[in-house]
Amino acid sequence: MKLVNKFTLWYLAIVLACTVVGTMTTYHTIKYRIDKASTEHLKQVNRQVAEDLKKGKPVPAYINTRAVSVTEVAKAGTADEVSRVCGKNEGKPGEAVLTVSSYHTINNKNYKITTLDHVPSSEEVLTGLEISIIWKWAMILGLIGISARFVSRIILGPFKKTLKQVDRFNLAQKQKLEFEPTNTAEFRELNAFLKKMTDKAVDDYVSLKEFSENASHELQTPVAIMRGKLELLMQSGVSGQQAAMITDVQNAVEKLSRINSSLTLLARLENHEYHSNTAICISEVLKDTVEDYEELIEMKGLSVHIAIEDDVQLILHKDLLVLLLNNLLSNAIRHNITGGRIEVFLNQNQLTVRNTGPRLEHPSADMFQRFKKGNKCEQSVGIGLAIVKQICELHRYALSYATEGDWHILSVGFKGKIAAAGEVVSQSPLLSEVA
Amino acid sequence: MKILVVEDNHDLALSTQEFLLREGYICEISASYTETVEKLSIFTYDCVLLDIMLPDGNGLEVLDMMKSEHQNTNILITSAKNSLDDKITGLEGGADDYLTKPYHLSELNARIRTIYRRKTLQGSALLRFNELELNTNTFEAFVNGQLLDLTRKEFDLLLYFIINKNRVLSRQAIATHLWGDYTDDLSNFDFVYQHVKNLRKKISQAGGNDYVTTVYGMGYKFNANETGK
Repeated sequence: MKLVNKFTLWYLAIVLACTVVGTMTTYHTIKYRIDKASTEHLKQVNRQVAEDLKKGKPVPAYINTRAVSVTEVAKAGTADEVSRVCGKNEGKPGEAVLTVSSYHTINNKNYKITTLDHVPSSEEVLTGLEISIIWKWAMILGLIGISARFVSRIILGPFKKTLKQVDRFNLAQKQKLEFEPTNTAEFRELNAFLKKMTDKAVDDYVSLKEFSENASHELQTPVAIMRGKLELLMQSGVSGQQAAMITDVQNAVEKLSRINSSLTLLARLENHEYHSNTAICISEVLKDTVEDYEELIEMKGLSVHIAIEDDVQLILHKDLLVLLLNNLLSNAIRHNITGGRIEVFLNQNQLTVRNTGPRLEHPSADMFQRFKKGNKCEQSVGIGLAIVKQICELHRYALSYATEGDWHILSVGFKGKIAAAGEVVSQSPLLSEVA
Repeated sequence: MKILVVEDNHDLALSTQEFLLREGYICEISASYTETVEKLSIFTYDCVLLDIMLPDGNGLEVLDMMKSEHQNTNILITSAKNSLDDKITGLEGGADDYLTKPYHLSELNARIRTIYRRKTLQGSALLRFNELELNTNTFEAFVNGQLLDLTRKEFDLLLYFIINKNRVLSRQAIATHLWGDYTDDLSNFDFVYQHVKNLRKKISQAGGNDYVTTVYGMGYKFNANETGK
């Protein structure tokens, strides 16, 4: 339920309660006032009749349209008698008859002077009130309804802006949030709190990134020294046993260097260092890449089938495209079986690489995690598909993985979606929002 | 050929120098910006290996200085900072190549030779070694004048061997040279083995000497002095 509606309902409940109490009060007050005024008036009439009697004037049947009757009574009452009769047989409908009798002693005779008047009945008063209540309610409902829409838009405006900003907040952009000033104390507090929180997150993120960047950068030099010394060592006469050891060390250094450069690359991708505004023809690059790998494919005894649509253009940095294609293809080659097949399809909307291969031992989502390897591949670091995923996320391409029997299918949808069914690994956040 | 190694890390500078001396180059070391500027203004070098990050300045400034003085020295930038911007600025600033640390020394050698061939020996794309002849423009290799049917990778491999003759080349260094740094799995040494095997077979079939020997456990060596079998 919207905040506005909640407030509205509460106000309506309060107004309802007030109306009920208010109507009761009004009703009673009005009735009391009318009766009192009429009674006073009738008493006045009675006194005038008494005066007239004293003077020996004849008493008219009606004074000011009020019926007057004078009777002689044996005993005078002490006080005035007031009676109010609501009846349909008396007077007009919707009116009550108010009777006031006063006792007067004139010339030692006791007279009871009774006058009666028609006053609005309770129903009449209530009906009158009803109409006003209905009008009042109609106005209240209408105004609250309208103001809830319009006033809330003004009052809650800063809040909605804050929400939008927080929603768009992206740590990787390292952009701190700047909220618009507001005069609502709660929103000011909220903004201040959010600002503090996100600023800290951004600062932490920046320092963490700096650390990892520096770490991988600082590692390059020692690795370079190790590599150099090992190469020099190799050139000096070494025995077979020593050679084996040197090779082991060299393999380890190689792996270290590869991990390092891959991590640096991922960091650079996150930093948006690869920015390009020019369209590039993937069809050509893909053909070249497949050609590059033909020897490897042949050596592994694999067969390859390609269907590449001509002139597929994408706005992408050339290095990234090469990286993406290399990683997808080398993945298809590496995780293949002897005598297996590779199929590469490209059209305007998507790139699909299918390869035969052993069943996955891990959940497919793990595949795109850093350092998760499907099977124990000694030569690979296990970061290739993580790089593919990062590139796809960066360019809002949809990346999906599916299996069909022996086949493993990796698809990259350039328009943010994949035609074929498959488990979508990463999709553009904007598009998923729209869907 | 006279080379100046600009490198602030002493250990790395020493191994590079030792390697280059063994290759028969004349090699000097400079550890700072000031020293580099001083050396460059006094001596002439054929090639400068330039580290971008120096304790007292930026290597790119050295580049600017050399350009403004119209020094026609070959420049190879070596940097640990594999940043694209630096690469582009460096190459636009007049550097001839860019090599990211950590690099294989044999790769460094190959790059130096490539630059040298391209700039200093203008137009001369022919590389001759005994009966072998390589045309680096057309990527054709000949044995006693007979054209060898080599793939591009095999040609690169042969060129790499000849440039780094008499040196043990590790499979990693060969793989990196042939397939580049980025791909995850291409240190798959089976492929190196296959390529070397094919190359040796093709040269032998064409009547050439088999200069390549397997160095147990470590890699391969192109023996310039003795033939394999």
